[in-house]
Amino acid sequence: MAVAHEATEEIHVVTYTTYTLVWAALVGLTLLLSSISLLHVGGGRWDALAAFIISPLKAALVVFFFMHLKYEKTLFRVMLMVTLCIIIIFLGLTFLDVALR
Amino acid sequence: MSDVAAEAVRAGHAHEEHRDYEGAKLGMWLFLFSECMLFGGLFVLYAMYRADHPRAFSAGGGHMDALLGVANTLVLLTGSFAVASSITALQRGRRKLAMGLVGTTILTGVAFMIVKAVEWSGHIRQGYFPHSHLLQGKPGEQLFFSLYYVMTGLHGVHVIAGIAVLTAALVLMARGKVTQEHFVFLENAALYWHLVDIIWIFLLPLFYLAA
Amino acid sequence: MTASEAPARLRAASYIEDHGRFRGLFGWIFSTDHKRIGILYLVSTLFFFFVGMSLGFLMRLQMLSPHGELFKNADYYNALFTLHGVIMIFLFIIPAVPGSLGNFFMPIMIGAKDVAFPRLNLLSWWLYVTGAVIALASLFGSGLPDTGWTFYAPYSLRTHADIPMAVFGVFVLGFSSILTGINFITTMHRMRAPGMGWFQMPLFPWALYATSWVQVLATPVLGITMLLIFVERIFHVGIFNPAMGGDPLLYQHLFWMYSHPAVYIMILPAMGLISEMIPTFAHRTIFGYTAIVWSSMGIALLGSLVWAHHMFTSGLSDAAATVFSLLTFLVAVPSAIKVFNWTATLYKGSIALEPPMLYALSFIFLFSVGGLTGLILGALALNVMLHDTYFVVAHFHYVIFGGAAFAFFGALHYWLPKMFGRMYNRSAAYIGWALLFTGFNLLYFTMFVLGVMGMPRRYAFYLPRFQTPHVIATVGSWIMIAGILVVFTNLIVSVFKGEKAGENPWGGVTLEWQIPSPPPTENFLEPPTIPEKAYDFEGAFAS
Repeated sequence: MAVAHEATEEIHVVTYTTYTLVWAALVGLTLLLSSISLLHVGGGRWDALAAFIISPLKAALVVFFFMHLKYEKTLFRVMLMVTLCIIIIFLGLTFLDVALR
Repeated sequence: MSDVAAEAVRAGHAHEEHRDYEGAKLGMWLFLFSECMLFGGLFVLYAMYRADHPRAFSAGGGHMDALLGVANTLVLLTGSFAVASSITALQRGRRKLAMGLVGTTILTGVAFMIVKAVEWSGHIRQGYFPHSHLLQGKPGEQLFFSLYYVMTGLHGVHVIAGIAVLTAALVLMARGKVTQEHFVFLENAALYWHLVDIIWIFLLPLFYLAA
Repeated sequence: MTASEAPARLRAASYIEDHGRFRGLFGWIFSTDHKRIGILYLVSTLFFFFVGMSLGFLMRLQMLSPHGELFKNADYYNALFTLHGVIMIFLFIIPAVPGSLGNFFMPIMIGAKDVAFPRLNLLSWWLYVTGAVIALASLFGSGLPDTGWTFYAPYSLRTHADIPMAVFGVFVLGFSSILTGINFITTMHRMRAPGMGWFQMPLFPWALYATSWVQVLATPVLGITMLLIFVERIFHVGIFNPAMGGDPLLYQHLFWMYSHPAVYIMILPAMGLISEMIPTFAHRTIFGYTAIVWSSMGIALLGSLVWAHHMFTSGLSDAAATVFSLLTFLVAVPSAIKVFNWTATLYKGSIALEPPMLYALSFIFLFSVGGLTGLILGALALNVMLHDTYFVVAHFHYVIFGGAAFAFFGALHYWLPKMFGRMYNRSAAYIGWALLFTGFNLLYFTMFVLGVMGMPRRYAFYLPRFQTPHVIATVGSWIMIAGILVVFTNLIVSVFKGEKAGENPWGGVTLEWQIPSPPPTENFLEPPTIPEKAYDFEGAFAS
């Protein structure tokens, strides 16, 4: 039976430096996204694109570093991909109805 | 089966605790996936209604206080930073530092809720709520605000739950139940907090930068 | 068996005698032993099955005459079919197999001593009970629920019934399902015995694994949908309300995004049960083990992508209707693969027509009828004529009742000796099955005819030309109910008074047959011997 393995598995300790750099990147990206929108950079044309790129990027930073997914077993990453794919498919198939009525 | 476990089975009632670090984390991740699907349904609704009412959603976004939204985003990001660091601290044996960092995260959560309360009461006072006089005859904007209250409201409920779970972690650390060797409770509490953070990362452009 | 092992087996208390921390009733309802929790689910889900069955009985009485045999007021009939649906779906068939047999047998079949999170398991059951109480409390509020189990907006937003209470109950029930799914997935990843690789795992655990993913990912969508109805009713938020710009069709999308995968939550575990019973009673290894594994995962995935086939006549775009119809046809493929494999397993097998095998064979027939009529409904042109008629009612009763519930009843016969150490009366079992099978087909096949004739569903009254089939169906329901009563009287009496059963009355080769009947609390007193191949009847374990 898979009883306690804590002593035998290597547990990765993430450094404060890594976290600080990630936090700084997150703050920077937030300010970037907000400026694009609030300062009407490019007349509002870039708003949607910025949101679609920057928000997932921020989420990815939180998931991979703060939530340690970068250091976890592949299995966890596969499971996350499955979940995200399901959400995207739900969006897509529903859109197929709503947009084309 | 290992010798230790086999002996416990033969003994009849084995009261040794079954600890499985990876299993505990797996369980938490699965729960987070279910939370993703819960909010996912709301994001589907937002996407469909926005596609139907692009200008009204833009107008709705114009009534939001974007600076408060950005500020709240930075608050939550900082809280995530703190709780992630607290795990490193605990793993390195710095229990008091870890507790301080968790406490900081809790404070960011409280600050977030205060800002939220200010925002909501502001909107309600100004007349931006479902069935209000101001929004009559503007179905697109009604939908924008309905979605705003539901999505940020559900998110707020999760912030409160996150505060509760982090407080539990704090108490357990103080009592020596969550330690340098056995810290999965803190790690799982942190995972929950990060999810709350991520949901807000997406709510920010949807409502505050929609104009 | 060595001299030192024999006394250990005889000495260890069974899970029934070993009450743990509390005595009596509290020893059961506060137990974290997966076997006791399985029995708790068994008792509670069967209780609600009988409640739901009684409601169905009343519905069929009403349908004896065109102007209503029981009520002249349609409101009562609306309440009957709403409650029949809610109870049968949320309180019986969704929780029953995973909660009772899944909990009891999955850990044993993978060589584990319990699930990954035993306390969470107990919480799941308590959430089930709480959700049931809340949902039923809605009966005593401002009015009987009359929306159907589907709670469609905008009617559910306007009707005087206590919808907030009902949907909140469903929300709590959903939580129970999600937590069970989390528990089972973690258990199978982390607690398989050494030597039990993924592809040595029997097919019932595999079926539960696929089901658990659907439970974890689809149920929250129901949760948010119910929450929105609740919030809408209490705070008038207006998300589905057309007067405020809302789109009722989006309610249907969100509702069916869960409720279609839900039917795979109902059928996948049942298919797993069939995959257990057929090899045992054919005394042959299952044909195409790997294909069955992949088809289970395939059904779970594809089944999550077909939801709008419930909405073909609601106003979908043509593009969406076409795509969903195509996907619906695709999901029949993995199901068919299973039916072929089960049938192939029978070929050159040494078939023992014990009651569990009768149920398994009935399943193959009844599920095939149900599945094929599902394809008929999935065809767009036919759906226009058949949507919301009795054809649909017949289809889903064939798959859910003739399929999932028959598998469940069969498995109760299969595993009663193991769970309680007692054997049931064979003659009573055969008689019960015969009445059940006959009554079932009389009741539900007639409904296909009614549907094609044009009889709408959820109607309390109907045109006189439909009366003869309705009477036939109602008589069928009486025969069927008689059969169910015989079956369950037999099973329940046997639990207490049946002949003692041994460790392995059927000659099965999965791990549960290696331990005493009933099992001890720890399941395995000595490490189990894991066969190299699942269902290895030709190998060392052939009886």
